[in-house]
Amino acid sequence: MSRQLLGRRPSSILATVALVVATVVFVPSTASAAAPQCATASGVTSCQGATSDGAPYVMSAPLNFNGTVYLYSHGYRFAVDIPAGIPVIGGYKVTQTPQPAPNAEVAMGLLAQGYGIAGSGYTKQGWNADAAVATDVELIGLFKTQFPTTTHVIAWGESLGGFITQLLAERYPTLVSAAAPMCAVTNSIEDQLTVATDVVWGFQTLFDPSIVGHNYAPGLAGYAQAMGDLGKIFTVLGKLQAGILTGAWPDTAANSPFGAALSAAKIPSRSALLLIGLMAGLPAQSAHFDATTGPGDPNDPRNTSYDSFALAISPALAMLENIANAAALGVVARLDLEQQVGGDFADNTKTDYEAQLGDAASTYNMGLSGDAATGAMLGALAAAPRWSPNADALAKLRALGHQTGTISVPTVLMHTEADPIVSAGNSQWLIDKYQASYAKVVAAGKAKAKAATKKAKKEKKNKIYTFTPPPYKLVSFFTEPPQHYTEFSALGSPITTLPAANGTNHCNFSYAQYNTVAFMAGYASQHGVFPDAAITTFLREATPGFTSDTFYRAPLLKVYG
Amino acid sequence: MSSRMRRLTRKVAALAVMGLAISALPAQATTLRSETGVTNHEIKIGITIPMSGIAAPGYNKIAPAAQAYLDYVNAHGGVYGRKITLVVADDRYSPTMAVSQTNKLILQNKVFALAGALGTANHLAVLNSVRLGARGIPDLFVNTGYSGFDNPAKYPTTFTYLPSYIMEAKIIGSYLAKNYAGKKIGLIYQDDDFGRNAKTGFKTAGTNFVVTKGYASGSQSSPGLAAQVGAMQAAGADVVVMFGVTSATAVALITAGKMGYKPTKWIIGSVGGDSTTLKALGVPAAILAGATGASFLPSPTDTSDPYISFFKRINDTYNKGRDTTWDNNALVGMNMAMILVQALRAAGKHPTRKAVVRALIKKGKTFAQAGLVPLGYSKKSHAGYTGYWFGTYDMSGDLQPDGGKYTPYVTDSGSGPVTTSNYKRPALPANGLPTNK
Repeated sequence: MSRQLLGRRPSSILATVALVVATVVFVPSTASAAAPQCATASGVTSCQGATSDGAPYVMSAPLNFNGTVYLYSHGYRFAVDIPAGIPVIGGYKVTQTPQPAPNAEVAMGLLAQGYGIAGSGYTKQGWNADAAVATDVELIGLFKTQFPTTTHVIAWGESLGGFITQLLAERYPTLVSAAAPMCAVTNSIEDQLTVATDVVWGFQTLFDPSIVGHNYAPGLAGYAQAMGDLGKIFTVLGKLQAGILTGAWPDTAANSPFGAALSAAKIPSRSALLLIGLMAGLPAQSAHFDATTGPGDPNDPRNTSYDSFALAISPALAMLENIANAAALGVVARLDLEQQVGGDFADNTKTDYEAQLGDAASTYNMGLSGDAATGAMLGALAAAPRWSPNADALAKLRALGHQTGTISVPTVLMHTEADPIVSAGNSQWLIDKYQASYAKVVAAGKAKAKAATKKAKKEKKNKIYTFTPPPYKLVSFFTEPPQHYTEFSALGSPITTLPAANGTNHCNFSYAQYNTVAFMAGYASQHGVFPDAAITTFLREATPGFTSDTFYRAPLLKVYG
Repeated sequence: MSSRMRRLTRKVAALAVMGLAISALPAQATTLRSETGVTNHEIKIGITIPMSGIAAPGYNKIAPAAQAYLDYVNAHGGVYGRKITLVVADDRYSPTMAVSQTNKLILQNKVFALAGALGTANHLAVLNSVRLGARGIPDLFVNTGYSGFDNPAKYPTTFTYLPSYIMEAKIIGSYLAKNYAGKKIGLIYQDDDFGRNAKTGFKTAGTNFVVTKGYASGSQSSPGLAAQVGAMQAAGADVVVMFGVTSATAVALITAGKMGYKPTKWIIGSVGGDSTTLKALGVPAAILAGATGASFLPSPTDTSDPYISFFKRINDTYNKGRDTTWDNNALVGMNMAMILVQALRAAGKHPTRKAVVRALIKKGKTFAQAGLVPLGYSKKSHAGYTGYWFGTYDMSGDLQPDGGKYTPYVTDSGSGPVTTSNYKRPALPANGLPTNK
């Protein structure tokens, strides 16, 4: 799990860049962009400096630079240090280290093929989309000044960086010739944080009412509350894990009338955990739990634990693993944004959790312990107090940069199907928006041609007007989890130390997958259109880990209904 | 290499020069086709079904039986010269597996249609995730009685096979009212859409239970159904309706035997009432004997029925499954395959997915099949069978019609009445080979 929650760890990228900028001394400036410090080594010229807002950046181009640069926007980095004792993300220190590519391998690959790369560390961390777009715009200018043979700029980025990428392409379509928002947050951060609201509120309501969860105090007091919440959430997760087979509830649940009632009704705690994740829209597959595999021989009819694990335990463990990943967003990003907008914006006063659960109640019926247990849990949630927002804070949150979903330049999306932090539904939102607008354009064009033909006929002119649809500017790639990937030890315990399976986790992509995205964006930036459908299909099928299913549709965020 | 492939190869090679390597070309050239899954020699059909795992006993006989009938048809010219290939995908009765196996059938096996997919939760997950309707993929003879699948507006390509659980519960409710008025009646049900449907039907029928107990799907294997059966016993239920899958029925009957609980009557829903499977799962014939069951097909032991005797012959000759014992599950599979063949024939000599859907809507009701109640296919409804007859398990554990003759009842999934059916099914086609158009 990454300490840089919504993006990539910058340290490995640094190592790459260090190869070529080792001799450069970085002198940041806060007034105006100072001339970058550059050096050439191993056939690559690398520069670093700071934009006028003080954001450090790096940019590199090989001596055989082909004129196209990939401008990378990194993901969400916490705006505060995280104490070392916090599991998963503890020990993180705020950093502005610039990041010019998703990882070192991709950076080196692009440079080796004649492309330029660039990226900044932004002037502040946390949710910084508006400032980041301004930084990126400036960085494009700086790159072109430094490398005047630049002809095309491809914007790409991951997570928050994907959001920034799309926002940049929407606001400055003439500056970029292609875009690739990957594992991207889309539309607005408000919608994304409703997922966190559902999860953290569910934890507070059923497992530990001492979790603050929202409306943190200003300043250091709020920071202390948030760090305390992280500790409590991970403690609850640990207790849930300990009781995964027995169904035992965390002791703190006794302090909640709702958790205590469900515990007394002998509803397993794993079912409540699963319910919270499902109603929030989290995937029931995680890095190590596939919801299809159990321990032992699947073909031994005496091995009943294979199916009971696969159907009842694995989805709950997947949710546990996913929530451990997503909890940091739910707490630290909320603290960040509450401090930015001056108050609490969480609102689940009108949320219908039964509707949000939807058909997942059937699909995961065994994990939820049947209809009666599901009904009891939903009843408890329906009776529990909700969180309501501060109107001013909510208005300020909504004033932050949000996307329109407009796609003006060729755009490539990539997302893991089982992303627990920024669900694949984010990419689906963009796809749906574009499809709708494209269909509108086509319908209008056809209607216009039909009307013109009709008019010509009326005027006895023998002319038929036709409409040629514009090129389709969006290609999406989803990486899918294998059918089976949970591994067990000889003793039958699940193994969670292996790398996350393809199609799971946040921004978990292979070199080949990045390469395909880079290729598609590169081609489109040169030609203004994507390669023809046969080639796109071929790449989709030839790149390991992508679903070849062009009909695949990711579930939208629950807030969209 | 086709010219299309040569063009593709040139384009890919040109792109590769741009710097981003492409490792491999498709191994096989794409062939021109009229419809996915259809060639001049073959029509490929997919089925997802539990061939292993908790729900496999009994259900794992359906696909091999269907295959046996299709093999027979293939040996006699297939459908307009095309052999029907059934690709069987084991979903272990797991919704997640059902989704991935269905995707595999569509994307890798490139099937023309799906037929006989089994399990409510499984298929609900498939319809939500894979979106068969949006893809235009025929989703034929879904082997569940969940009434929600009969929804042409939402699932335009989905057609069910079994009568709905609402229909079944209404008919059982009517039977209870006639035969057990005033008795204490209990209900054990699968606590999901399956059971929810049943409870809707019983409510419509006005059935009053002294006790109802659900079990979460899968929990019949662990922790078992002692709590549910114990609740029936504690409530003093004279009649117990068991509305679950066969593995759950077996656990309930065995548990009751161990507890010494002997209600006056067990009424076993059709889904969980296959006698050979119950026996194979260890239910003593003495416990099963006297229980009431329901079915829409003739009793598999009724060899006086022309369909039964024909299908049994096919089973003896063509079934290559692990367990070829002739029973209701084998009958269900074979009968489904016969309807499938007629649907494909009715789609014409050059079948398309759209044509199959149209054919079922227009002609499905008229197809030859073994059922003793009518199929309900129409433009407004994609419901399969629409009723049941009642019988009693004999000392061999086989279901025999009450009074020695079939009295089928029909109803709908709404508030319509339960009536005795006067349906006259089409005669078995000569040699069991449909010639419909």
